[in-house]
Amino acid sequence: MEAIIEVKNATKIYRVGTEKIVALDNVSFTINKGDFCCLLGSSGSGKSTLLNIMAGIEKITSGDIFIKGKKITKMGEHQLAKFRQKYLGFVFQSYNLINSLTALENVELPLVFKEEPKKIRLKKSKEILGKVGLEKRLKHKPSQMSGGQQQRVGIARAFVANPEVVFADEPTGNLDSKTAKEIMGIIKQIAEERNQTIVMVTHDIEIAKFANKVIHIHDGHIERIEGEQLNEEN
Amino acid sequence: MKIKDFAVMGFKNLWRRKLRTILTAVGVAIGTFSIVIMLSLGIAMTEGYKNQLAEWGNLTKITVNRYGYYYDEESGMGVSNEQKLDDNIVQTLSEIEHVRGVTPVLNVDARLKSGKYEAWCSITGIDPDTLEYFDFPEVASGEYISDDNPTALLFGQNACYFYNPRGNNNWNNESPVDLMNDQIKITFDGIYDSTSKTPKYSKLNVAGVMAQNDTEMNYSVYVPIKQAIEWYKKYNPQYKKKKELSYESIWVSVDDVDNVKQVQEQIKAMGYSTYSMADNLDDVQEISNTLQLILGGIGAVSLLVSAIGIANTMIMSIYERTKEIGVMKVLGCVVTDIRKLFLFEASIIGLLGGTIGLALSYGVSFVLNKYAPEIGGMIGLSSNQAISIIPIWLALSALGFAILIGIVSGLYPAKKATKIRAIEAMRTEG
Repeated sequence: MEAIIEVKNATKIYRVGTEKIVALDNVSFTINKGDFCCLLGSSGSGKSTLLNIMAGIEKITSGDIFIKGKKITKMGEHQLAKFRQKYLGFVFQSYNLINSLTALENVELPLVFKEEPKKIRLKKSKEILGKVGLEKRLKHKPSQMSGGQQQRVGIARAFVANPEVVFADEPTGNLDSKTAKEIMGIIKQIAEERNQTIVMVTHDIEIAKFANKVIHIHDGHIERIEGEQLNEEN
Repeated sequence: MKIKDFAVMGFKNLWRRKLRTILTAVGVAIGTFSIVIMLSLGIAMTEGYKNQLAEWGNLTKITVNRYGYYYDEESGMGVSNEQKLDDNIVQTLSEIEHVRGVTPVLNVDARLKSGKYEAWCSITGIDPDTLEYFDFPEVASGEYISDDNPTALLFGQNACYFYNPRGNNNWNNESPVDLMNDQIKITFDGIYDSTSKTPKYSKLNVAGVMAQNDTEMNYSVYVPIKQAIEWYKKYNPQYKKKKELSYESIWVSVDDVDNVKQVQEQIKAMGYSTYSMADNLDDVQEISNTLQLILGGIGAVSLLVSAIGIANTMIMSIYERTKEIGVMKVLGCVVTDIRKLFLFEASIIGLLGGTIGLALSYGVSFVLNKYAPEIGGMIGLSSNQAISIIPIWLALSALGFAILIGIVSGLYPAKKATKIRAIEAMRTEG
């Protein structure tokens, strides 16, 4: 299996006043291409910090992160932005859609940043919105949609540029359990179709069951890593 | 991001905060309006004064007088000196670049008589070939003077006042003498000396009468210079004594009002003192520049205030959009695009305000000019003069300036926006 993400001795220390809080303590692991990997832990375990560092959203204190062999922990802001355009997608807990834009325009956004031609942008966006079942809601604003629908738009936006890795931070955290399962199904289905890698943070064991690899995080340490077996139980 | 995408996003962002955008733009509009209207008043004043000068005399004309007045720095007084004006000088002056016509000027005084009416008049000799350069009015009847008919005179509409020496005269009435059709006699006797010998009259030829106008030509009588010289030599007592002829003055016509100063400097360099309407123009220009600076300054203050308004609006908008900017960063938006987006929004507020302000200015300018006769009369301008003029360059530069104000005010907020970190996107609240 080809490794797509490598985490080596990742450490994150926050300073609050004079106090030091160790959020991540020397964490190392590898995620392979096509993995659906779940970072599972309770609130305050450091799982979200880990995801943010892996995606270059937060600075690492020490250690290194490699994605596709590139050391993202050494990248400058501009380089990182270009890297995200090309290889990374994001799904947020609170959807984070731009309220003034329609569903279609929100999905187009990553392609706008990439400066893709309008025609191609529209084609790709409509296609992916169709996949998440929102072909009839292209012109709707976020405020005119339910939470589940908004998160589908969020998923479409994460996948539209066909990234190699999609990071998802508690993607179902704001949804009821029935909708949550639908959303997870959509993410899993799209990722499998395109052999994309998913890195997801959750505290919900039920949601973690969609993953084929579960990394249990507790107090900034990896407690244990479960491989394929969870998937089979499912 | 591409320009079109900035436009789509920028306009949506502004539209989402309609009221605030419009209020901020109104601030810019008021600033633009003040500057444009203030400057338009200044410009109109300059124009008005120029027109008035042009009414009083030809702006492209330079006069070299026999008795030149100048300011003597040693004595601190204005003194006059006599400079001899002859044909050599006329020749020299006509060779200066940008000079298109030169004529010597010589006055001869005479007395006219028609029936029981008499009139005094000063006849000005000029070169008939140069008439076209000195803005002579149209002839109302007859024709211009020419060397073919050297003794025929050209009258200004109000050149001579005929009165009855032995009767009552109504000074407001029209002239009792019809210059073109009545018999008129002329004499040069008894003008320069008060010897009481009976004047010898001869028949007067009239070439034409010019149309009514506002210049000195309305009150003058002209004759070809050759004839004037002849009469001068024959009748002027000073010439009789000294046998020396100097012209009264020399008129120089310059091809363009912008070259007058340059030509005048050259003539001064030859040692002659000169006079032109353009001398006054310089002073007017200076006064009007100062005036426009003050008026424009008042307007600039309000535009400065509106610049602070734009900066304030943009900073507010950053606080509201912190999370959104974080999300954009996470989705791969480069920092320069974020800066450009904010600058774009700020400049659109500037443009919007500038456009409203300009429209307002044209409206107010129109109203001012419509009621210009009343208002203009009150502040002492001639009644047919516009009191607010907005030239196209003023309109365009006002718009450009409004946009520039927007961009400059947006610089700091835009920089602030780029400093927002991607982690803001991960906050769950809001």
